[in-house]
Amino acid sequence: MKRIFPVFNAVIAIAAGVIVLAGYFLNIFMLAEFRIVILQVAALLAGVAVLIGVGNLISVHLQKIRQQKPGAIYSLVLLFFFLMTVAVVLVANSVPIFLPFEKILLNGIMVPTEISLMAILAVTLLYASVRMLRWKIDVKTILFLVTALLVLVTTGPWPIPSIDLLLRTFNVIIQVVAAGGARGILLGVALGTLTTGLRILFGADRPYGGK
Amino acid sequence: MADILCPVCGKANPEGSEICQYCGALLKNRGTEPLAPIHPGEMPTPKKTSELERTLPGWLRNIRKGDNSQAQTTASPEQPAQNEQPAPPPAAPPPPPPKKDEPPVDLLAGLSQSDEEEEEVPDWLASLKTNLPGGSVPAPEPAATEAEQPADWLAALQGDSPSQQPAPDLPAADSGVGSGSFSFNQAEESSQQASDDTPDWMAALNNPPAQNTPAPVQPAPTEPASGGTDLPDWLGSLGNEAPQQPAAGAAPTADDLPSDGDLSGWFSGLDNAGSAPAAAPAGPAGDLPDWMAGLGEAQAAPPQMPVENTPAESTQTPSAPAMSEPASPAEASDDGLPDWLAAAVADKTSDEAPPVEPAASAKAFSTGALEEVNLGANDAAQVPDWMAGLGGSTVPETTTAQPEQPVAPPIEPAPAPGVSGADNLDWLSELAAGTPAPSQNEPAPAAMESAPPAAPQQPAPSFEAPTPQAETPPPAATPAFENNQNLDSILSMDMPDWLAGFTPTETDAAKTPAGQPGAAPAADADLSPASLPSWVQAMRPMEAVISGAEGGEEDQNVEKEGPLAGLRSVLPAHTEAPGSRKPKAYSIKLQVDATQQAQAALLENLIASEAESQPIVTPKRVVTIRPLRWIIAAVLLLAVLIPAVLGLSFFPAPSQEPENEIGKFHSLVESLPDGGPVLLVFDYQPGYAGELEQAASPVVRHLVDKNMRLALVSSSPTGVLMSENMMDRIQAELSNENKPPYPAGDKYVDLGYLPGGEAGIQVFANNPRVLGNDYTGEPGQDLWNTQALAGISKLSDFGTLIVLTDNPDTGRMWIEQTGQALQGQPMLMIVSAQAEPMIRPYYDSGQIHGMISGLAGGTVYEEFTKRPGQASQYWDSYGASMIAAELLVIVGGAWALVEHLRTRRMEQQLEEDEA
Repeated sequence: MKRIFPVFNAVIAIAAGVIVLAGYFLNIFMLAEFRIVILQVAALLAGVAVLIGVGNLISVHLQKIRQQKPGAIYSLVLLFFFLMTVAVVLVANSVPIFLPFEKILLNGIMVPTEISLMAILAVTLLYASVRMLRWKIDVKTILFLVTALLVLVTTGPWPIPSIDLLLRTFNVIIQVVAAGGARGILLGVALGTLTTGLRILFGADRPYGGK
Repeated sequence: MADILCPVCGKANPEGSEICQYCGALLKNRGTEPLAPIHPGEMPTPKKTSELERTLPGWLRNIRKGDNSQAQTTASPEQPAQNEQPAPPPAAPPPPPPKKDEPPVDLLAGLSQSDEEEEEVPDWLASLKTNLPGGSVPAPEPAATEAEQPADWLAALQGDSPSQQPAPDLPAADSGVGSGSFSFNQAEESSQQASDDTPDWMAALNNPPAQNTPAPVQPAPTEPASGGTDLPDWLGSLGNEAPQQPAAGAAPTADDLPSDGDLSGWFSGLDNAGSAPAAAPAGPAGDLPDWMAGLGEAQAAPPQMPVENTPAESTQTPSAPAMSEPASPAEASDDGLPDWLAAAVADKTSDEAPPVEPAASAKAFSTGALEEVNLGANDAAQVPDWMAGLGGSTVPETTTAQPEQPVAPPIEPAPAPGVSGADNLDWLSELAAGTPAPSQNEPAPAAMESAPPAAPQQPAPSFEAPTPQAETPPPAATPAFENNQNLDSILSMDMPDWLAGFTPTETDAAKTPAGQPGAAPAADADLSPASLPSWVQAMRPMEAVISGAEGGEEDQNVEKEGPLAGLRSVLPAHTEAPGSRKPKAYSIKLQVDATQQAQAALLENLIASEAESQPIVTPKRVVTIRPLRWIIAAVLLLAVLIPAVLGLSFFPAPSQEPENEIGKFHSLVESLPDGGPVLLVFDYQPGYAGELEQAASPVVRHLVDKNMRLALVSSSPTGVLMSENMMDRIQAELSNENKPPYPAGDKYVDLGYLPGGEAGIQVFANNPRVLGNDYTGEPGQDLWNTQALAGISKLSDFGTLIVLTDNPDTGRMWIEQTGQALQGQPMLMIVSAQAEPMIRPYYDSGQIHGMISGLAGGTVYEEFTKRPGQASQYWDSYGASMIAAELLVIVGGAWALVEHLRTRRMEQQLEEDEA
């Protein structure tokens, strides 16, 4: 069985990949239908994976509370609000009275919390930029700081219209440079994805297990 | 008369004898080397065989010595016959170093000579007569008396012969009474018991023969031979024994005889010794010298005596006629025979009983030595003295043995005609010449070997030839038996070197019947001493192999010291020193080029640096300036709040550019037909809601204003909440504007969460109906039958696809998975400012048709729609915070740089001060 399962997994993975890939290029009804079935199975498995992830998260934090490890209080808070949110959402779907509670959980806790984190991030980044030259002075540090400063200057509005126009023109130039770098990254990602797909189709890489 | 005691049998032999007349043992031993064969035509060289005494093996000398001592102590007339032991040979003097330059000598010839040194006859020998079972019976005296003064003890021995003694007088266990003599039958039995390595004749020499002594040994007195007047008495009587053999040979039948292969060759020769005259004519005796011819005549004469005078005639068995058969081939070959052989044949055939067996089954033992014996009978001048005496003494002895044989046992047939006397070896000849001596107690070797078990009461010391068929009862538990076992154990040992001289050719020649091919080479009995029997060769050390492999003894090294001393070629020898060549001189100066030196120096430095302790460089402690953090936070907070609170508008609105991504976005939305379906994807996190909601709100509001049917979906779990929050926000705006709400189901549907990542997007792109339940609608409602999704069956049925995401990967995923399914329908993107650089390439490539990025994009889009919204309100705050951040970075960086330089200068100053 130890020999059969890896081969069986490889056959399934390669066959599914070939079918899905062929569905992009071949306009065959049966092939498209079969490809959709395969993708639906994959989507269901992904949904199940989310549930499994939630279950794993609960078990980890429960274990942390049980063992009274450092930070167990945070785990306790997490589990409390997790169960509360699940309960509220489930009840709110069936009982409209609980819908405001659902909005409170979203707009009163989740969104402000995450936005606040982004604000703290802005302060932290500024602090780091200010202290960067204090810690280390070299070409890379100076270049990094100058680039960030230029993006800020060219992106943000300026009260003076002439300067604002000048800076926006200059921003176009910066965006071109930035776009070139981003396009290179995207090309690299695309090639990597293509290579990975081919290796999986050929069976060289088996992320599903087996040698 | 000084008789010589046989070292083996202890019997006295006439002075000058070299071979014991009774047992054939060599009275004096000269060495271990075999005798050189005497070829036909050659005259025997007289040799002094007394020197051979010293070459006898130790065990043989011990036997002799023990025999003497035992005989003196135990042998007495009162003792029973069964206690008699064969006379061990007296102790031989220590052997002198062998003379290597001497030719091969006759081994057994020295036995007779050795007795010459012992001139005194021991008492035990004299009393043997009375000790024997038949001692009470007077032996036939004529043979002893007529044979010119035979020894007293010999006469007594003859008188001890049990042939005249009735068998009941002796118990069965006393069959070995005559152990003092050697019986060939006994020897054959003991040879079977002993190891196969022992020759038969050796076994015969060491076994007490009395137990197996056949009855036919008779001391019947016969007339001595005519010749041999110069011979001593005992030889005269011994010479008379030879003729009796033909008579005795008539007793056994040829059928009872063992096969030739069963008999040892030399024994066959011994058997034929008695009948040698009959066999001699058949051989190519023409090469024999005259003296040998005379020997044949002398030996032929005695047979008349036993035939005529002994009672053997009356005891002949029906097989007796077969005994006369050998005479016929003798006659047939009479023409080619020399004179002496012809005469011998004539005498033999005329005197003997009819021939028994054809010559084919006869043993060829007509050795040259035997012929010498025969020759000596007539021509004693040409024969050594002792040999001459043998010839004349054979007749009376054999004749005395003949009448006593009760039942004629199978007799050995006549010798093969094809075997000549030259085929036999000298020592065998001499041994054969001695065979008549024991025949004084038994008629003939043929009779001895075939003696029935019923007649073993013959206690006479007989020198019987060993025969395989000798079915004698086992010896009783007597001292003689024990002595026999001791002898067997001695004989079972490895063969001594001197026995190696008895090559298989000698025995094989005698064994081989005349009719077989093996008999022909015997005629060329030019045996080499080196031709050892196979079993002896197997016992030889590996020296021979090694020497043969290495090509000679010259190349062999003999170890002279240590435990291997005396061994040869056991260690490899180096004839040449391995390092004889002068080694090449190499310069010890290191020859390296500059590169190698540089590399060596580098390596040396590396090694040296590894040995040096490196100072631990403590990283500079990062001092967190908490006040600075608060200052930065305060500055940013103030920059945001002040414009928002005060409502200041310091920053002008971004310019509207219809050709840019925002303008195209707006144009596409504007180009959509009112009330058309639009798919909105909410894939952003709540943390980016402050940015994306300001950028997406103008678009959604624009869509709502166009009364578009909206289908909301999210590939992120939190996206569903964002879409719901967005629609709530739009509802709120509509409510604030006193516009009708945008009802769910009719104007928009929330398809909810789309799981599966790319796969889910791919599935949804190919079949949007996979999502069938409205997240906010009534349970069980078919969304695809609602007004919002009326007529939508595939992705391309939507007028446009708008993706709201803060993650460039998510945007790329939607672009890649839905590009084909849209079938040309426009795709629009509302992304965060941080994702814009990654999504812009897709916009530049035309895969997406419009893009709104961040707050600035939302503000611009509001400008396009002429509906200012929250994006415009946040614009000044955004601008102020951006400027504040820029200033903080600039000022803070400058201050940090100055501080760094100052610190560095202070450190340098401190270093200078310390220096």
